[in-house]
Amino acid sequence: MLPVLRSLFVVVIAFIFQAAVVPHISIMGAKPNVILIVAALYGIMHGPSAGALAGFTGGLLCDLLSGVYVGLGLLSKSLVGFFAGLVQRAIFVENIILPMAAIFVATGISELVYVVFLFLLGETVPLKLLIVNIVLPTAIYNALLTPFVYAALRRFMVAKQDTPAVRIAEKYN
Amino acid sequence: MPEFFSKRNYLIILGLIFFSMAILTIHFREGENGPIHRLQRLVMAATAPAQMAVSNSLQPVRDGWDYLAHFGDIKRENRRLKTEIGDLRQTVGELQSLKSENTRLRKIVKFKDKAEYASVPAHVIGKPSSNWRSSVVIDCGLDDGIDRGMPVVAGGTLVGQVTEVSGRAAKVTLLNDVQSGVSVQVRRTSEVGIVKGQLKNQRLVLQYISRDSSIKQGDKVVTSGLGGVFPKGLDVGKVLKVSQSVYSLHKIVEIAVPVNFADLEEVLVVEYKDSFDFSQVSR
Repeated sequence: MLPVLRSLFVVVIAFIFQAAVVPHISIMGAKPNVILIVAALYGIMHGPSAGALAGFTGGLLCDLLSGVYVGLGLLSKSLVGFFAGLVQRAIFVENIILPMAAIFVATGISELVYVVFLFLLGETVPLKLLIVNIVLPTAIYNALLTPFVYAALRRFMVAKQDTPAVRIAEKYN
Repeated sequence: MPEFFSKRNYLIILGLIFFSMAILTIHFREGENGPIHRLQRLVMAATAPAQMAVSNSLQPVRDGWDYLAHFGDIKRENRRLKTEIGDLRQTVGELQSLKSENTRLRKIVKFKDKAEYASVPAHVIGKPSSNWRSSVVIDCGLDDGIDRGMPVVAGGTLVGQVTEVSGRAAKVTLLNDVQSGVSVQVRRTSEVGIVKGQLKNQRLVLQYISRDSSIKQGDKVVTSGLGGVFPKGLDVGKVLKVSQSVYSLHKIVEIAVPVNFADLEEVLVVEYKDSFDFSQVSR
């Protein structure tokens, strides 16, 4: 399968999982954001453009399904995919703790970007409620779910990390 | 990290922001039949079967868990219900004779039937997939007579409004969604306010109640019927807490809703459509 088609397939499967399964696995009201994890993993493993594209497609589908503000989720998720790609040098997927930490931070940033734009559009929800009830639980849940999503996606994602270790390994292969 | 702040990266970020804002603007400005709204309905219709399949396949697991978790309660409730059934049978007998008497009398005085609105029962097949929105997908749509704007009730309480409809599915935005706002009336004091959602499961906030109001805990809150969006008199909840900020002109009123928005399984869509023509007002 062509890499673009394969990526599209992965994002669509992640979207169906997000729409149909995620609502049933919420813990104390917090739901994980599988699309965000997939976008960040694409960024980490394939670079900024792939991460942004995965976030863009998945975010758009999620916005179309649940969003009143179609375009906001798309922005936050594609930015996460893009920035995850920019810091890919520092994150080795062989050590799963680093991607987990990265996705914890990425979720926080993504949700805060969303909150900022919600406030700009006139939505007023108490900040403490947002952080305690939504941002923090989602970030923890996403981080804990990362190894499972990574394990499920591994066969679709051939790592192309541009790290010094990978370059040395490629040189001697 | 020199490449982090490169010109190319700035351009990509600006491009993403621009594109997202463009989609947001088009979505706001286009009508109900615009391309993005049509795409939304298409995505909802396409995902409804998957949501229904997962929801149906998980139902036995949920039922089993509920049964185990509430076994003691179920036994006690069963005993109580059996007693209640006996009492109710007696009441039904009495009511049936009253009903036939009522029908006879209505014919005599040509009284208008008060059951103004029919309702369509529906199952919840999709729950919100995002933490930021509170809405559910139901298994009824245009084919069943459901239309945008119709109120949705569960357990006799208003829970939301139909906001998107496709042929066989519809999206209901729940009252605890941050975008929802319902004009309500405090039954005892007749004061009118707006109930807003804050993504809490059984709590809503009542706004614009004057600081001089005598509103108190336990006061019943119903829809006011103002604006014609919802019919008058639908139950919304009861006042749970009233507080007052020093600087605010209004009281801070918290409403307790008897329905848990996260656990909705069956709902009734009230076939009520706002028929008031506002254009007539200015003439």
